[in-house]
Amino acid sequence: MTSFRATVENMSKLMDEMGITELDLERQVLLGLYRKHIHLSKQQAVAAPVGFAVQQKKDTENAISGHALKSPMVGVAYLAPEPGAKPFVKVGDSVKVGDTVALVEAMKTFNPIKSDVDGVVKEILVSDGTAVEFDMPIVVIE
Amino acid sequence: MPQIKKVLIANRGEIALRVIRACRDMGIRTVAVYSTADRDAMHVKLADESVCVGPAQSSESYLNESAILTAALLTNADAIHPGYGFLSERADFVEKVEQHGLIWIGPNADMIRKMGDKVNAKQTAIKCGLPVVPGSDGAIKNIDDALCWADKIGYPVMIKAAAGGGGRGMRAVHNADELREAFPLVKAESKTAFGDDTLYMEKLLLHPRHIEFQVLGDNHGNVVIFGERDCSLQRKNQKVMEECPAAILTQKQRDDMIEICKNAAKKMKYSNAGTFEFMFEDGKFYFLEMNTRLQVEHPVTEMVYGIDLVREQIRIAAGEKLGYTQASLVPHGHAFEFRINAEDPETFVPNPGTIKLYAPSGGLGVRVDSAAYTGYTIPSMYDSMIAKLIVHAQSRPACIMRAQRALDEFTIEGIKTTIPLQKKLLDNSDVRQLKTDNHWLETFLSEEKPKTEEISE
Repeated sequence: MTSFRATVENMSKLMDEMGITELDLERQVLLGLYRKHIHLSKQQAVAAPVGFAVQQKKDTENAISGHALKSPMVGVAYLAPEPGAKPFVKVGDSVKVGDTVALVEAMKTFNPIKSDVDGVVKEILVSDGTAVEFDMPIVVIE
Repeated sequence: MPQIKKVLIANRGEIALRVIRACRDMGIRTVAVYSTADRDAMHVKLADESVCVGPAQSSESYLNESAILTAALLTNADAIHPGYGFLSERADFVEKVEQHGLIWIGPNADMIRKMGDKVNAKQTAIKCGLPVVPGSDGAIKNIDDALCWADKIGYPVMIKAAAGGGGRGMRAVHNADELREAFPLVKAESKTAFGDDTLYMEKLLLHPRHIEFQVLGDNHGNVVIFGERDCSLQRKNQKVMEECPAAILTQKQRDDMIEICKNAAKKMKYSNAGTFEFMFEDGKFYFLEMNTRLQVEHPVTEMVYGIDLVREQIRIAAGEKLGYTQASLVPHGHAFEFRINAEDPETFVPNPGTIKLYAPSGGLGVRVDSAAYTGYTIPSMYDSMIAKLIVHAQSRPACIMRAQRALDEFTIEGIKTTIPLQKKLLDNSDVRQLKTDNHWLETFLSEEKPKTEEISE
């Protein structure tokens, strides 16, 4: 699973570098018993889910030091108000209580994740357009 | 024909495992959903993928329609299996699922509306030829009308306030004199209690048994009825032990009811799994309600008929035809199911906590459907049922012997369970000789109580 995440991340980076908006990747695991079908899209993440970053959460849960801002619902996390716009926050930015750090979209409604502390953005744990679970840490504030 | 390659299971506990297992047997991928209280639950471990859909309280997680739909869409699931309880009989949710292009593994929204609601269901049942509890057709005008209806229905009868419910606004009467006395009283009572003095009358069943018939129908008009389950051992309307077949029935009673149920299910164009529940008294059946979903006690039917009902549900939902006819359903032997709850076996106070040792029984004819494991902490906010022990043997007496053996073997340490009660029931001569009815268990428990108190003193 870690290698799966690494694959998705690498692909995502590669796409950014090369300006590709959509990518289909098929990988056969376990002698073709099942297929892991990855469809990455840089435009409409709802139509093209990247897959839940479950592993990411389990890896980071123990490692997080600082105050984690978590997703209030199942949905797709966006780090900017609209595609191509400047992100809400980047690592090193200071935030105040009430500042929006990300959006989570579910059933076509956008729900802001607002900081409930003053501090500095230490880490952003998901990439733009990632499917997120309820309670998943999105941004760490220190 | 739509193909189902990935199923999201909108449930938890043993039934989520049950569905995951059927999917894996069919080569179908699975998605589990879970609440924050169920991070370590077995269904999360066994599914190919899992999505946390909300906090511990069910209303925000397992009943959270939009979270579950979002999870299904984001994981590219083709279908949703609801299990039992939670969202399984919510017609509006079924419609939403279908609007989003997903397949619902269960009866459609219209069927749930028609049969899931008790009042609608009785009307439909009458139209489809199912026997119902005889009663006045609508309101009783006056005492003469009441006496006339009571003669027609036969004493004892129950006078009920149309606006009543939950045991209020009703009175049992055993003869004409009692009726003359009670009628004006109930009328006055219901006027003050509910602001409406409309009364109706129903036959009073004194010692009914609960007997139910499993239905499977496909989308092509084919229907089969499985032989019956006897679920008479109940406490506070919760079934405790179930068996298949109901040994109290004659073969003719069974065959007749299968025919009646088959015609009714055909008439209502029933698709997917469901259950007709009846009260059975003095050789007669009275329709109680219909469950438009898979039931907790479905495994006893599976053991006796050798058919995987969840697999059939998935096949039917995918648009396939039933693979067999009524004639090809042949029962073999007898099966019991024991619901093992994390409760004090005498007071029934729920007893959540950490299971220190979990060693289920095994061997020939023994099946355990459970999401428990050693080290598992049972959350306090969900159902207390932690395991179902299902035992199958060639005859009812052999099944009782095997069930005693299996209950003796079953080891759960660290929490209290209802296993001691199940053992006691199986030793009881009334249970063994089929001298029970729907009220038997409550009476048995109330008689047991003083005795145990004496011993402890």
